Amino acid sequence: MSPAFPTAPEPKPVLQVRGLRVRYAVNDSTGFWYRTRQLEAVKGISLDLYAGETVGVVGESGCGKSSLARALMGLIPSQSNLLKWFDQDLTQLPLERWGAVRRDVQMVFQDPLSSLDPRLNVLKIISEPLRTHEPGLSAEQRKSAVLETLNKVGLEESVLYRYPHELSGGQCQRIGIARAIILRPKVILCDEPVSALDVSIQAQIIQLLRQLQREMHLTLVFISHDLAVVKHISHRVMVMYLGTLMELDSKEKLFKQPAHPYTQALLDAVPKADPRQQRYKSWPLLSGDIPSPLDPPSGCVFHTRCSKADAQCAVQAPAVQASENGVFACWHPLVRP
Amino acid sequence: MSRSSLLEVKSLNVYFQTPEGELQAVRDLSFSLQPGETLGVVGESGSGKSQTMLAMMGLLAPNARAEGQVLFKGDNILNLPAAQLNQVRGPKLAMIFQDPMTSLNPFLTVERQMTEVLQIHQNASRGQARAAALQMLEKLRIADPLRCMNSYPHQFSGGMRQRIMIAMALLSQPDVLIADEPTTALDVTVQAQIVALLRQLQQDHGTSIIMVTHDLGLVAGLSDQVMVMYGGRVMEHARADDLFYNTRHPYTRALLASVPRIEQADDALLAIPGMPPSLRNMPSGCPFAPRCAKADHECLEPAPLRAVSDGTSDHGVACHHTGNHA
Repeated sequence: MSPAFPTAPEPKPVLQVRGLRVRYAVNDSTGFWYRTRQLEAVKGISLDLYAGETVGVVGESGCGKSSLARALMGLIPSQSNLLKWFDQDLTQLPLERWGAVRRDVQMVFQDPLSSLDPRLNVLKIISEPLRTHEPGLSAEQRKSAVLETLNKVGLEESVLYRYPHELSGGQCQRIGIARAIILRPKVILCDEPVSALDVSIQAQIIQLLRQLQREMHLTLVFISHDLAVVKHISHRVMVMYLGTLMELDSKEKLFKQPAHPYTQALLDAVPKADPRQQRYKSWPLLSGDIPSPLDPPSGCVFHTRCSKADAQCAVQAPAVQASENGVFACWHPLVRP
Repeated sequence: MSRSSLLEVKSLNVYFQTPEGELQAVRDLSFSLQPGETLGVVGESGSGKSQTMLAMMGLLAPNARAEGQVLFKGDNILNLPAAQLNQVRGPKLAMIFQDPMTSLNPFLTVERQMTEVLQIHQNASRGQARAAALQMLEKLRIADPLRCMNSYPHQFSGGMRQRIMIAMALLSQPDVLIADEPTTALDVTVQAQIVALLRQLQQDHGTSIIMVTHDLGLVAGLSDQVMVMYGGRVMEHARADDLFYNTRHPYTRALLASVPRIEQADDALLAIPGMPPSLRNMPSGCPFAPRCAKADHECLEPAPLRAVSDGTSDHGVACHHTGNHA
């Protein structure tokens, strides 16, 4: 582990999830009669999150990574065998009674501009969580808390009375982060926090998140489709495909010796800034597109695009097996654990 | 430059009329493209890379104006009247855009949109156009091309739509294909497919490609020459190998260091402080100076694009401080 990261993860999980499922009802009317179908966006994900670590979640669009984060926050309904935040069992708790948890678990969203209310100025945006969770504070106290937070995310006091449309994408994302940390949460779920930003700004935001993690001992869940970004910030990485866990392992293992063919295919597809290597690279391509989550393939959901798939893969979904530090779900893993 | 250049752009400038006065989006941009060659144009938002391409295609906004020369096979196509320009753009110079959904007409089937190209530009009959369209879809390895032709854009995924856009752009066998961030909206696995497709088409037809992107990794394997833009100016322009292995401009270096890369150690990420300049408050000197570690009083004057000597030809760098490091 690189020295830039905080101390090794502690053994006590802040979050325990077993068999999390998210279903949406989608319109499937073909004729006159209104009909809905069930779309299962997340199909039984299990995860332990430890204090102080960063878990990266990667996958192509439609793999359920955002639904997973929203379900963990209690923003959308989900079913699970167990969902426990900080020893509080929330498995059966209705969403409207999750209030106390949401104080400790905050979220940063993808689109920095549309996730901020255009009619509120920066002071009001950042202090809104305080007004909800600490209604006793005076206006003065709120303002000083906001100023302190602005300082932490590297913004000047002069933005205090500006509105989101007056600020750049990077500044808006810093405000989104300020809003998330003002309550001193323990966990932040980041849903593609840098994908809408310019490349030179991306690095700034990644560094800010790493720095805040060190200073505030935060636990991060970092969702992204960009493997390189995930590699830079995570301790452990989870790879999802069509709502299913493919592989979860330490970053070092996953990027060097992935067990799952899908992980390998994702790694191969990332272009590298090295012309000589890239030019003569034969592209081991994943054929086709990700199948529609409405009609997921039978058996292993990846078998339709997998180079190693055989008859068994089409029939039966592989069970999640433990490897050295992580887990994977594949009949034909690339390296035997 | 040599006579055989297919496309040659000479000191292109793009201006916008705004209520706050005239703003310049592209300054003194020149390059030349040989048949079958690929040019990668890299830059962040506001660097002027897209406006350059739109100017070449005559697709600038009504309040914009382009100056300079865009020589296609020796003829200046800039500021041509629309009727004459239409003889060139489309059939000779084709462009694909970032968002494949908004560039396709949602009301028309793929067949209508594809055959229209040939019916207009080559006076093909409907049957001929249809056959050519089918053949092109097959060539792009689109499964079930017949069903594809009768479908509407919303019935396809993003990757499929982009493939249809590429098929449409290639129907009239253009000499130059301009691809403006063609894979930004797509997943990495689909991006790899599209890049492989572009490469193969280039081998088969000898099409020249201009690839506009913010991703240095994407142009690395695809380009023969790479141009890095910032604040409307060309910062560095070189053969791909020189640009990546013999980087001379501080901005290109910073860009390479600030992009998280999968093949690198994890703490090697160096953010560039500050943010890219907007057109409204463009520094009068080198646009990168406010964020550059090497900037000094010299940088208050813009640096011209100069050739640097590193054994190979055609390595242009716009920086006052290139001599300090080799």
